[in-house]
Amino acid sequence: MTNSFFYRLACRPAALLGMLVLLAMALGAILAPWLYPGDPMSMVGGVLLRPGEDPTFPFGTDQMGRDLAAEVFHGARITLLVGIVSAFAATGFGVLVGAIAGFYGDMVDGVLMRLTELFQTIPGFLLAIVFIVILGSSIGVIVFSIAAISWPAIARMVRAEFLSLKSRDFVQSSRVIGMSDARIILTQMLPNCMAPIVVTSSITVATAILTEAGLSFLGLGDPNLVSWGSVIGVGRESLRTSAYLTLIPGLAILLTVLAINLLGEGLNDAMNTRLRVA
Amino acid sequence: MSVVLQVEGLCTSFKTRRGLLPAVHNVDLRIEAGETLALVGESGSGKSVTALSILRLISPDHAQIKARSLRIGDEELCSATPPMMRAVRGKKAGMIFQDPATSLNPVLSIGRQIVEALEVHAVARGKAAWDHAQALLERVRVPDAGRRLHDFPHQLSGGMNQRVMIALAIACSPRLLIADEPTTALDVTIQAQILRLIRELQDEIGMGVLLITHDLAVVARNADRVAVMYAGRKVEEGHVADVLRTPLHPYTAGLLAATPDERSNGRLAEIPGLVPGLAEMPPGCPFAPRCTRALDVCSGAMPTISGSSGRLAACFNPIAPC
Repeated sequence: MTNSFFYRLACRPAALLGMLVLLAMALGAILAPWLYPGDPMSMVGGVLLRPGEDPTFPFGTDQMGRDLAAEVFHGARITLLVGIVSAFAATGFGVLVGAIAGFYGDMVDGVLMRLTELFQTIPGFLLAIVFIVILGSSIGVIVFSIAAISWPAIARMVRAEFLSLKSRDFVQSSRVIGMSDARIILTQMLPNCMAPIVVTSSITVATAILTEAGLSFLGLGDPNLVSWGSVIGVGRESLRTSAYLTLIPGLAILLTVLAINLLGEGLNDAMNTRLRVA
Repeated sequence: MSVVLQVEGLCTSFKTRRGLLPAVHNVDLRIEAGETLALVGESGSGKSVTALSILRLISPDHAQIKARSLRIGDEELCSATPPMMRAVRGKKAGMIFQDPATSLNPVLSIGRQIVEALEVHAVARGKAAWDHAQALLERVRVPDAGRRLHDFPHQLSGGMNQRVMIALAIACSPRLLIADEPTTALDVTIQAQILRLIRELQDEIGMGVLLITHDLAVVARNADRVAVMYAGRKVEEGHVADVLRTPLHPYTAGLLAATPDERSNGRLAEIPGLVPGLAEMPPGCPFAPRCTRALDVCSGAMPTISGSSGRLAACFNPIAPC
């Protein structure tokens, strides 16, 4: 079954492209310490060398003489890590809240949905800034604050799915078999909304990467770590004279987010049981 | 013979904004092992609500279910807690529904669903459960069961899906099988196969069957005894041959007259009027406004169901003396 799932995914050129780009990014992130050993924030060469000017620095150097290629590769580690971990946390919490609210309805639903709306009414990016300002800018806090602004969308979607699934006959027949509520939620209803959950959480990874980039750009990122957003933030100061400092990490973000979206689309089709060949 | 279902004084009332509305009123049922009791009535007569009440499948938020006694097998479930009911459902009593296409989970393979049913009651686990599931599919005569295990409901026909539902219902060899219009969504040739299958499994396992239907031809061929319901009350009960040949209650007679058969050609007889809604129940016998044999007493008082040796009717003016 797993084989056929990947097979169906790989049959879609867009999804395949997305997957390859993401694999390349992940590979780059994993290999960064071997490709560019040492601290990517240390000054290694001349100031503002353009890409290609010195073969040692294919992406050039910034105002402080830091190797841009080292920063981009090491930045991929932090950016991807923050994106994936915070999307996972947001999905886990969102699914939990949404499933319970949708399944039990009435009072439980009311309380949980008011809580969700409380988060949704505050602009997400501002809320993330508030968390970081209060708790300090460490990588843990950044992951937490991005997860905290991402879960309400997933919770609302899962709740809506559960509300419509709850009245389906097969849920009643699961009860007839003698299943407990928890078992019905986990083994019967969740598999029925896996497709939208996977798709939404893949998009959440993309949004989380953009949010992290935005926060780092504003200087709210972890000052001890390089991420694509912080590289752009540094490059911004010489945008008119040395645009490559923002263009290269910007392109990395663009490619990653695009790849994730393509993969998400492909997952959506691949997870549809009805499209499976008999 | 052992009794697999004994219901006394079952009352189910729905909680609405207008207060409690009784949907099932004072119903007694009794099924012995190996026996089929048909529950007959037109739409809205409370047949399905009775079945759902027996397994407590209506949430207490929506309805109040009361009974003097409610026994499945040798367990008294009148005041059973939710965990107790969960242990009964599937294990002691299985149920199949009208539309197999929607009663099966669309994203799980049928094998997975049968395995779930076995694991819930710890009958079998892992590999053993899958083997057991395949044996069950073979038992409900699904051809090529080993391969069908990995199919999804949308890949099977309605008749095959209903067989899978039956396999799910009998997975733990229950004492009682409730079949709520099991053939309504199937075409006629499949109907006969499914009913024959239920009959055969019933003989193998020795379970009692509560067959809910509005098709009197199905009753004649498949049931041992029949209970006729009207407006949430049981109005007549007896052996199938007796009830269908010499109905006592005018409603049963009306139902029989409205059944098409090959001898009569021409207009089908009908019972004038509709089943009264839950909120506008008349004070006396609920059938009185539609009844051709109604007396003055009928609109003032509700007749109690009475009779002897299992032949019961609730009528002041029965067609033949009880």
